[in-house]
Amino acid sequence: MTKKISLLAMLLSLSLVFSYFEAKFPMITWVPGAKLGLANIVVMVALYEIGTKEAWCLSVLRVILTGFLFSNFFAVLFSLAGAFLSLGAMTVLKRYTELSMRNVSIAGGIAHNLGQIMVASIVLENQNVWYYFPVLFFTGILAGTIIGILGSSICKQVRKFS
Amino acid sequence: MRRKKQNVVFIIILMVVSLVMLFFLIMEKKRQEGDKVLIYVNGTLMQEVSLDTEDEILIHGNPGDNVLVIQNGKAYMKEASCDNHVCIQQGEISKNGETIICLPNQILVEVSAENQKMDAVVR
Ligand SMILES: [Zn+2]
Repeated sequence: MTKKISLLAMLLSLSLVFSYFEAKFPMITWVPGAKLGLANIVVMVALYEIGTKEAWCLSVLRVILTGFLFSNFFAVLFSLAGAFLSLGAMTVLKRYTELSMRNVSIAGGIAHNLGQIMVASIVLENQNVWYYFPVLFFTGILAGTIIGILGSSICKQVRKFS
Repeated sequence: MRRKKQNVVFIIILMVVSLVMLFFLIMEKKRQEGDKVLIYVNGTLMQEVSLDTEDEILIHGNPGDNVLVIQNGKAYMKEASCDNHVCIQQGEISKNGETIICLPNQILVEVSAENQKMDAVVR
């Protein structure tokens, strides 16, 4: 039990570090708003190696903490929607299908961007923001692929040591 | 075996949807040029500016302010008080229906075409 909690605490601080770096150095900006979402690697590892409940806790805590540390309310709402839809899709796919971790992560990447567009269209009361979706669909696939590959190799290492 | 099948089906679905998205992207490029920008804050229309002017507009967002530049028939966000600057990265807009979003400040800038040209309908 204490082992689990300390592992979660460690993952949470790791994801905060990732979020901080991405907020401070938006490295890849070939597409507006495209982010790799390195912190999602941590959430993904938690989902596969610890459990669904723990991954959700981690995700909520991360978004709220980064929100209060680095941005404002609407930005928090924005990233909450992305994080929840993404983790929701991944949870369902992991439980009910036998898709590889990489493919689950791709679905999560697309769902993440879908969630953000949904919030934007609701908060701004404008449906034209959906014109961004095709681009975000592809960046979601790209980010999901990278995160899925990194995540599954980390999981392999974790399994080797435990 | 079932595992492999599911992954193959997933990739096929992904490719089909990708093609549809690609089609939308190409359609997007063919959109009609707009002639004015509408500036919304919190979903309410604050200002209407012609795209033919050369102007710098201070937008009072909620909570922060942004600066929109209109130049050569295009509009772009030059300065923004938000922390992620996604709005600045969105670049120039000029086609009917294109938008720049600044979610932290609840600002939306949208291009609109005053006189919807009839040739779009083909008749
Ligand atoms: Zn902004």
